[in-house]
Amino acid sequence: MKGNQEVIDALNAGLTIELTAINQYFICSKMCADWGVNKLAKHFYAESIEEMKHAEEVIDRILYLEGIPEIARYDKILVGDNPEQQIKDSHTLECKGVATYNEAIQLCLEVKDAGTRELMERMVVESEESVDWAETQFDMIKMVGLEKYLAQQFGESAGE
Amino acid sequence: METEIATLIPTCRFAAAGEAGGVLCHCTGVGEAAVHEMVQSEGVKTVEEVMHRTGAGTGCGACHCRINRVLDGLPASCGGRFDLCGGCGCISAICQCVAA
Repeated sequence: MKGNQEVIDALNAGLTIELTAINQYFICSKMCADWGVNKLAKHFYAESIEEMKHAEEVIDRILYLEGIPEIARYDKILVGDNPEQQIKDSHTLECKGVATYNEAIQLCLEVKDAGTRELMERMVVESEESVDWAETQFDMIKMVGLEKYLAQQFGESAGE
Repeated sequence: METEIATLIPTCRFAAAGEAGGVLCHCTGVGEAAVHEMVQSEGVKTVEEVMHRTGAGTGCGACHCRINRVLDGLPASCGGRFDLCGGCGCISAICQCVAA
């Protein structure tokens, strides 16, 4: 089904964030595992896989609308050199995702593309949950201090 | 290890990588200025010629619309609200950075 080009552009903007997030979460997971911060590594790993599923849905929708997925375009991949910075970077990326998808939802309403809007709404909710997770970590760090917070994150299992 | 990785991080992929207009083809890294120059100086008229001469457009194909715009004498970017800012990577509808 031929889709609205601006909607396809919006989906591609979302896809750029998803593809960036896959890579950003993945390297953060591997670095945390290397540092022995295994619970955080596991969380980042799960996020990376979740972003891949988001990317799959967005690509499927772009193809359905007869657009071309921008699979080679990435945003800057932020690789923090400590766990706290990595959480801040993931918060930044997820906030960008929320803002982008909210703008795209507005467009979908304007051009009456309910199918894409439904997909975008789910993406917003999941991005908001990731934003909330990061903000919870900030609160915990503030309450107990970074050292105690990290002590809680060591865990036993590796990042996959 | 962290420092080594940090030094390998590229700058924003769609930021102007040393040339005006920024990256046109994200698969090959060919910039808008290189394609524009070819159109101006060598009279290239088709996407296929651009692909053959610069390599741009030979990957995923998503940039063909941008190549067509340059061939038409227009900026590669259509200037819509979902264009990505070369500075912060946000869509132009929400971008508030100084590069906007």
